[in-house]
Amino acid sequence: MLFTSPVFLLFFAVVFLVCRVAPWNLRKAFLLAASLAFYAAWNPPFVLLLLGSVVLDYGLGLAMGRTERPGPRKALLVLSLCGNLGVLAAFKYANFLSENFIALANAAGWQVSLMPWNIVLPVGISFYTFQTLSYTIDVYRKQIPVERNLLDFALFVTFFPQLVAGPIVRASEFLPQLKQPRTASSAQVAWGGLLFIVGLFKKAWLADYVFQPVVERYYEAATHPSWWQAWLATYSFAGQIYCDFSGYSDMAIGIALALGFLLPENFRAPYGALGFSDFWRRWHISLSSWLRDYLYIPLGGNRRGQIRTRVNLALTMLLGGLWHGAAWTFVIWGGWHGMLLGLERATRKWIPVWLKGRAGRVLGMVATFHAVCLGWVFFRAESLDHAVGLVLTMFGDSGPGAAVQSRWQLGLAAVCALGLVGLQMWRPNTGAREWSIRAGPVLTAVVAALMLFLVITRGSHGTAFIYFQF
Amino acid sequence: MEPHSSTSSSEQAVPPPTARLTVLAFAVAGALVLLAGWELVVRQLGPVPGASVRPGRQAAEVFLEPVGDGKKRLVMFGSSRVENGFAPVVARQHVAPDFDVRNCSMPMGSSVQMLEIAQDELRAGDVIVCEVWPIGFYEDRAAPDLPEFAKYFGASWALSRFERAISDGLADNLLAFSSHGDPMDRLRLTLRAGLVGTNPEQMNASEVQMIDHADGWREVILKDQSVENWRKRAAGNVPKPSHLTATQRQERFAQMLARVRNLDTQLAGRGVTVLFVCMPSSGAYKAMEDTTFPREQYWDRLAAVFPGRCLHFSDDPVMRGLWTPDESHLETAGARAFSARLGWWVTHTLESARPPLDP
Repeated sequence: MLFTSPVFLLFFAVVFLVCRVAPWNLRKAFLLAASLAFYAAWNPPFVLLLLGSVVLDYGLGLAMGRTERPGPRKALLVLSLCGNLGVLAAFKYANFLSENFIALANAAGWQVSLMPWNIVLPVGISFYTFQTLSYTIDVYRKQIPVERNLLDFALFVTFFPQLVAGPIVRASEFLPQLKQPRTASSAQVAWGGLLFIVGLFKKAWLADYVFQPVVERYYEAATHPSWWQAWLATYSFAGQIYCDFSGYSDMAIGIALALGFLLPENFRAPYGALGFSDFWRRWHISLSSWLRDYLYIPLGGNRRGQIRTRVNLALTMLLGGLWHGAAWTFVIWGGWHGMLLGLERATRKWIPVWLKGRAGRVLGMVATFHAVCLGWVFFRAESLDHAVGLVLTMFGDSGPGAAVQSRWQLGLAAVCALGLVGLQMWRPNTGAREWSIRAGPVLTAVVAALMLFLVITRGSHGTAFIYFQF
Repeated sequence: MEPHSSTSSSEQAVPPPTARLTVLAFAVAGALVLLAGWELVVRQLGPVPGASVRPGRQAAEVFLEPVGDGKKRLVMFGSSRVENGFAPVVARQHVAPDFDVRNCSMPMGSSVQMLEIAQDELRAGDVIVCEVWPIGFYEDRAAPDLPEFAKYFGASWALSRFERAISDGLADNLLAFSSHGDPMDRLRLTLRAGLVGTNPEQMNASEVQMIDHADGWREVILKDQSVENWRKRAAGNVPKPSHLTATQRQERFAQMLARVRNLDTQLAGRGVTVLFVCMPSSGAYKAMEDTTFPREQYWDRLAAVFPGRCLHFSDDPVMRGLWTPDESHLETAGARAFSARLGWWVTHTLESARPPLDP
């Protein structure tokens, strides 16, 4: 079931109405059942895997709460890490690991052959695995109390708005919300609805209708784009992935808010970032803060000297890249960002004064955006060779050019990409909330109506979100 | 990964002053008013000429049309070559009467990918003819409309029948909900008319007439029958080969072939027959295909894996003589001849594969 499909609106209408009238405990039980039904609509057997993850971490949390001795607590943590990451590795990385093992073995002169396994990746597994891991790590660190209520814990893991594509919610943020009855105020319902419309517009119109056709046209491995086509496709992909993913996050936050729950913000005008650390404060915030708290800082963060800091950054970003998908292109993407972050740290003190002025800031934002775009080439390309070919094309080794299917489509994508990036650079600290305040209620209603109108009239609905595959 | 403060969710706890139910209600009501107004405008102006139809939906609907009692499906999956070149109405006359013949194709469609998506709907006795359009088939390319096609089947995130009933029902009855009512398309044509004074669909309409049949055949009737004129038009229309290296291309093909072999084994176990056909092409287009996908490295490997179940047009005395005006697609007469010949070949192949009757 997709947020953009008509049946979801009916599903949500039922959930919303029940949540308005049911007593608190019944409401939580109903929300859990609705969340499992939402997940089962994709592939019912995988609900068992999801429930397995719930039971594992709930049980390990309880066991951890029963002892103060560091040894057993550490053993329980290791068990949780092995269980969660083991499942993730089996479903997500098994083929990747076997392919690379075969390649290595063949390179060493051994003749090894293995048929690829036909593994279906459970949707959202990367998200809920990180969510449950954060719980056991926090319990181990004694940063949060053990959750003894199975219903609350299960709802924390499976809450349907954020189950399949985030934001990655921490137990410390969500579990306290389940301790007291919550009912959304009329302002929260209204704002949740408006956020849903904004997210729907980003996903269904901007990502799927405006950007996707251009990206698919020129990122098809078999086409030979010219340099400008490769750039336009890359700008379009930057727009597509932002609108697809942040659109999902907006819808998830809006739905949760209308039900009375708060989810963390996941994006904040990332293409208005000045520098790469700023970019990661604005892009997929729930993942970057997760990686910081559970990987970068435990590795030593920036406390062990310059070289070690850069190694930590690189390692964190490489693993962050691998989290996105089992392919070398994602590893390269993560490595690219790790390198940019290291470079930024190394050169920060030599940035000339004139670059700190207004023009310098704009220049910095444009440079940051273009470096991020180069990373997107690896993220989107079908293979490493394809990515390298595209980057070479962008920098002068221009292909003969693919046939232009629709100049209108190209023009629309170019205008929307320029508008999107321009707006974020112009007002990098202005979110939907601030825009709405500036616009006032009348203009907010008019813009929302126009967004809905464009979404409904575009003719085709139901394209899955990019981040479902991660 | 610089240390930074986590975004506080408390920001959302205080919705902006504009967040009022009246604002939300006005937004929804405004959208409905706009939709109603737009519906009236589109009905007044008529559908956008040549607006994008949804080939994925069309192909899925042709395939999913219920099969009559005692009938089996004979379906041809493939690209626009099949769309234009396979006339079920003709093929039907050359196959056993219990076959319900359908053309299930879409622009740039790869037959194997379509078969993978539709496999759960097949039943014992069904016959699938997979078109081998070299670029799409050997490189395992995904057609732009494949996701639309997939939405109608039980694949991941497929639309439920209920959802389909709602969205297709709206699209069928209200122009504003269909691609014919897309305001951006209307804007595009209005701008184009203002700038150029015409639209590209009108130019195409002077060369060919297209008739969409219910069984999936998109019949191409040439208004200009001059071979010489069509040769001129075809010049320069040859797609560029991919920028995959020859090795990469062969790797993709090898992976795809392994997949098809597995799929074929599963389907054969369920009593479904899969056949492969390469449709006619000519001129520079064919030369490009022959150079990029040498027959001995591609077609012959496929034929070796599926012996007796592959037909290349250049091996068939009838098919190799058919005219492809744009070097890649058949027009009406060619489509009729091709379909008749294909029907004959399918019947012949099925009979050859049938075990001898008990004495």
